[in-house]
Amino acid sequence: MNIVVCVKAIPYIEERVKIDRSGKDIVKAGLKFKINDSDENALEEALILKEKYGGTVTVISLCSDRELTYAEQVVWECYAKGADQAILVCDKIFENPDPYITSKTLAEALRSVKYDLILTGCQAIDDSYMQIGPMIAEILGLPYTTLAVKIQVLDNGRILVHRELEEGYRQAVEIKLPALITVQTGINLPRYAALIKVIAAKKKPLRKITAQELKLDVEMINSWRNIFIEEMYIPKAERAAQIITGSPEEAATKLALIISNTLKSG
Amino acid sequence: MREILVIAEHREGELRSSCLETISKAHEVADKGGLEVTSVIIGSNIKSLAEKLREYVSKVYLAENHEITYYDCEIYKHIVSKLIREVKPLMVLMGHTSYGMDLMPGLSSHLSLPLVTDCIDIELSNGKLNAIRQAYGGRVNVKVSLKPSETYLATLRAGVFQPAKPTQTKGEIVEVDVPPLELKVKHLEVIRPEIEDIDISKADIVVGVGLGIGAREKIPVVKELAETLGGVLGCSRPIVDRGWLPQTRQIGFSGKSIKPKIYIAVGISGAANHVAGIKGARTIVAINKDSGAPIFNISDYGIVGDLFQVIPILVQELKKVK
Ligand SMILES: Cc1cc2nc3c(=O)[nH]c(=O)nc-3n(C[C@H](O)[C@H](O)[C@H](O)COP(=O)(O)OP(=O)(O)OC[C@H]3O[C@@H](n4cnc5c(N)ncnc54)[C@H](O)[C@@H]3O)c2cc1C
Repeated sequence: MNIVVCVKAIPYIEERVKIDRSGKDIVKAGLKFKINDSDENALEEALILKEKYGGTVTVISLCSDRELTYAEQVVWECYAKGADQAILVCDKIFENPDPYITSKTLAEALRSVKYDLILTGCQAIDDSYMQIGPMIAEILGLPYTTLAVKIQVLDNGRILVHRELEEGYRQAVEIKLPALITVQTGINLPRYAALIKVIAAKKKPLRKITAQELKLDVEMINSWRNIFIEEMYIPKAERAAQIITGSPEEAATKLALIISNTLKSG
Repeated sequence: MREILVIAEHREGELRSSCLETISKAHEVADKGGLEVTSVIIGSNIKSLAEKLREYVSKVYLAENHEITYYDCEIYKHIVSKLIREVKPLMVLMGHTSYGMDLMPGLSSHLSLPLVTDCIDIELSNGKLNAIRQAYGGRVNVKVSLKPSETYLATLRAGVFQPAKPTQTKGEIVEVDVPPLELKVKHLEVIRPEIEDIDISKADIVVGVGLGIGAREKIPVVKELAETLGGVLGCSRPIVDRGWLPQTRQIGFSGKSIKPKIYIAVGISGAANHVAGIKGARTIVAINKDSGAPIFNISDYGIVGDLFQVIPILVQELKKVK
């Protein structure tokens, strides 16, 4: 089975974010980037399927020139884990794409790739739209299903998928290949990429595709845009927490009193 | 009058709460813009649900067929697409749920209509749809506008809007054809949640552990806090994903909703999908080393600090004051 996995490098945020001067984005300078979490599960699932049934795993990522180093790092890690091929669709015109631009472009790039199955993460946790997978499927005319927490190959080119619903419920569906499935976290435990393998991976060939090679230009990309970002801001707190100050000892001591009083008062 | 069409969601013979929430927001937008709110319901044995639904909207499109036993993406997509082409609603809304997340992006690309997902607010301004949504795990709000279009698509975050109340008049019911379809994705069965060891949704005191704990071996640090308080230990999704605690302990959108007197979130960032499960908690306490963590925006008390320094002392002090 030949599998394509769509992956995205996303900023890894551990502190308060700042809004940049445009007022439409966060300050990304100085942030570390990593593979989006459910994309990592999608890759792992592809590798598991490859180990069982043979075939190849191709990873594909879309990025702007500015993000190229982050995307390359992510792709090298995918190589180190066992991906066979990597495609980076990279161009300065892919600055802040919306979900439809991303989907259209990835779908265009995939027209020259042979696959039976496309896997994507269910959500990129930076912009968190949850649109890409189904959109790519629809553009390529593939059946799709989403939020997979179990994938099992049946006979005759069919796949059993458990998709996650709310409150611990799941829906079992059967899907016919070729197809696209979006993967939810928890479906597997992603393997680690050994550092030596990541370093070795940097020698592997990386197919880079520009917008021009896909016959795309700025006007086309702009005409695809569905979503315009007007403003980004730090939300106001709904219930602004009273922050208990002091050393860890002092704060913990004060909090113990607050908790016991809260519980006593009903 | 142009319509705001809400795609009804139901499971096991009940309308989902997200559906009534979406209808209520739809009414708010419709009242300002001189629009009417309608709904489409798809499935088998849904006459009584359609009866209920007509108490909330001016028209219910009823697509009933005994073969549609469950939510089925391709059938929904087909029926709703046809309806959109015929009725030309100004807006089509659905909850940002396991059905909405599945159906709407496919529908958007199928019909080339703009979609914005997971909205916490929407408004029409000069015939254009603006929305507010969140990014970076709830750290920022983003105001967006959609490309001018005859019809806009949006999914609304569950738990944000008050559920709709029945209106005085009952809407009309319009039956819609369900054509035979050759399906490439077939519904097989529904799998219900595992039997629980402990029902965290009924507990009065819940302590939640998140990825900030860093390793499975460290979980007893937080468990001891729960035990000292006579409460139960819950967790965020990544803890279940890694197999560190069973699924029955997961709090949030795809886990349990809890309504304790006190919830203490330890090393949890406060992503919307987690917060969805703690809205009913009376008092929320957060312990997190990142002062910018969104959890502090919905908590009553917080400590910005390292849980490994704070929790052991907290446990010791709680034992004293008890
Ligand atoms: C469809 C869908 C459904 C989902 N359903 C759920 C759900 O039901 N429940 C759920 O929880 N999530 C759910 N999620 C996932 C959710 O979006 C978040 O990814 C998740 O809640 C994050 O968990 P976390 O806060 O433990 O981890 P993180 O976001 O990684 O946060 C860890 C936190 O720990 C803090 N920390 C680190 N070290 C320390 C330390 N030493 N001391 C103190 N603090 C520390 C960090 O500052 C950080 O804020 C769902 C996602 C999707 C897409």
